[in-house]
Amino acid sequence: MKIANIAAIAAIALMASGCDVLEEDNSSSYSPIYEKMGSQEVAEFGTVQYTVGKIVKTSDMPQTFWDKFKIGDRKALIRCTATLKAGIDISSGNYKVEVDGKKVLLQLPHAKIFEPINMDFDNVHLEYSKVGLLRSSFSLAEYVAYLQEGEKQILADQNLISQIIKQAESNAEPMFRSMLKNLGFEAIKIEFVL
Amino acid sequence: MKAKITIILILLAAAGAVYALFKMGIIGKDKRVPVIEETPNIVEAVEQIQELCTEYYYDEVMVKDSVLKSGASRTLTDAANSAGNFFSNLFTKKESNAAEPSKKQIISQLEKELVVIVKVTCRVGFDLRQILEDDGMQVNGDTLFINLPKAQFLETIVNPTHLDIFAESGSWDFPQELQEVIKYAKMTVEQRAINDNILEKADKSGRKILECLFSTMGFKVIYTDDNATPAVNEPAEQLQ
Repeated sequence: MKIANIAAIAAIALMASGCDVLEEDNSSSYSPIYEKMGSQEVAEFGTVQYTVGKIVKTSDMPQTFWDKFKIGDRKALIRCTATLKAGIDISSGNYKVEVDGKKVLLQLPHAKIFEPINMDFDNVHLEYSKVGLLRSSFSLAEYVAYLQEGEKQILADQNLISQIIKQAESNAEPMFRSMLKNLGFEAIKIEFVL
Repeated sequence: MKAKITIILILLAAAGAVYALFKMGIIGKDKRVPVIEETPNIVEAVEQIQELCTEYYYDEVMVKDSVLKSGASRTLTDAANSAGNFFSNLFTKKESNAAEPSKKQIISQLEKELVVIVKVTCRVGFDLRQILEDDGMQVNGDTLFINLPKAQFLETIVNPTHLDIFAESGSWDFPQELQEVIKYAKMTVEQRAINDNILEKADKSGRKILECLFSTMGFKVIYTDDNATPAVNEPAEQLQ
């Protein structure tokens, strides 16, 4: 009878935990911009382009208990580059102009990275790949999944992103200054405040 | 009776355990999260650009690629299919129709198959260097004359997160064969964008943006270019 009681409790507990995990799995993630196909009007002044190189390194780290029993290596090194463009986005009309004779004050929003970034597959190279005799070879889906993680790592690099934004603003200033100078303004003030 | 209940409960516990382990990703590999090591992002180049992007174009393409078996492998499959047909007809007394291979037979003749859903983004707009550096703007009193260049594709983007490998069988060369698939998807979407008049839309948006910006400075904008119908900027190759 004791065994039956223990088994009953175990069955209920394990099924309940399984159901909890099932609820967590329902949160799918995909790029929301593709919810609508077609075109979108924007006003993005691009001022800087960064080319960033990355080595995507995957070395069969055991993720589960059973992975520890697998025999043979399975590792790959993929070299890729991403192009990140940044500049001033005035799509929502978020800029102000104050003109006083030959004086002009232009207030612009802070620079931002234009998304999506461009991780061109033409610049993807498989530098090294090793698969043990008793292991299955890498599938395309796996390689793509590793690159997706690499892309996420680039976008998560806050130092890089802030460096690009800073550079974008310092490039935007002379670009707009030259534009306003062509229009005949003599005293030009440009601020990134919005 | 007690023994039977115990067995049933133990079996239920075992089933529950397997289910819970599977859902937690401890067994089975469908729910695996790919793991890569943290590596540095190296800045290889920094380039100053002067461009105005006025339209984004989003589209999705399903690309299907397959390779049929050849040589001994194909002969073996054909022989197995013929034998299967023979026995099937023998027992079911169906009329044989050798000229039309069944769907199952066609699938068995495939050496490898790939179905990829590719999401493509095109950024369309203008290279402002042509305006800013090549005297594209002339002022006469409160009138501003702008010689706007032709709208063009600034970038056509497919990122790894824009790829969904829906089906894959057999061995595919990475990245060469995937690059071909993406090249085809980009070409298809660029052509669709052109058919959707994206260059005209980008041109119209660009004129509106500049007009709006300079009118707030008190200028009347007049365009001196003849880009009423912007030319196509290398839409890759014409699709068949």
